[in-house]
Amino acid sequence: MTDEIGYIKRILDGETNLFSFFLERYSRPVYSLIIQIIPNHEDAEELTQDAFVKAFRKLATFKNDCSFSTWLYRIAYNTAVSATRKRKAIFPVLDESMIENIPEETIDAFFANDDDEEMLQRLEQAIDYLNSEEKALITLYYMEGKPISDIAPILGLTSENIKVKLFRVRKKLYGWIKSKEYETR
Amino acid sequence: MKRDKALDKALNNRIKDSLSYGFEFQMMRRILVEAERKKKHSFVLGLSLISMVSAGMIVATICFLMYYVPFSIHLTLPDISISPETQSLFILYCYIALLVLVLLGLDAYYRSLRQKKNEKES
Repeated sequence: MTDEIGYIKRILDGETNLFSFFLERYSRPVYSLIIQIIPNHEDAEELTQDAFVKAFRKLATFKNDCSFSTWLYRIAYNTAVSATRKRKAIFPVLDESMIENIPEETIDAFFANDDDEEMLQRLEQAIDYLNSEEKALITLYYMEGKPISDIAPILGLTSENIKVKLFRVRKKLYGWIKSKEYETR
Repeated sequence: MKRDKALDKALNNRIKDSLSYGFEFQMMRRILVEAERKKKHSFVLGLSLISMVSAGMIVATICFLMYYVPFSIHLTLPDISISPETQSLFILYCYIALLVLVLLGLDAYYRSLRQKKNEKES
């Protein structure tokens, strides 16, 4: 983190070329986050560019109260969310009581298995039904391996909220996959 | 909290394309353009600020001289009359003034030439 602060200072002093350090380090994870929210390659790539340009413009406002990656992810998340506001999404309704009654062990066992290709395909589709916040949450937690304490400031939530939402997202995904299985039978 | 393998795999499978070739290069070009724009913006901002402050100081000085200092321009500036005796001296002064102006102009011109040359070399 200290080398990042050093780079930021030098960029602000006029060494613009050093910004390539951040591009090399963060362009892939930022794109990964955005593509989960905006599932279109061209749009996601453009939004990744926008996020980096915004970060460069606001670089002087970056304070050391969080890591640069957290700050950048927050910009990327907000950029993607603003883009989704223009699109109207339809989320399927799921029975809340059914979600609540699913035992945690069942869900743990279900998501621990990554060999079932059919289930993985259904899971990929079910992720589409999640809202932007939930998509960002599971991307940062499962894909990028970020700790809850880092995800909280990115999404503007408390750590407790993040934990609750993670449990709910897993239950929701499980519920959707199971309801799809019943439909196809 | 468990790191579910299935979710990790499903999320990775959802990314069909990676960033296009030359993304970072294109991005750097955009950043350099943005840096140039930022530089111009701050220059214009600085210039307007300096102009405003200077104008304010000039106005304040004029007001101060007009209202607070017993000052008369007729009393301060002597009448300039060129007599035949002082004419040759006056021409000499004009010649020196012109020479100074020409030298200053040449200095500015060669400085800009040198600056351009240095920029090209770097």
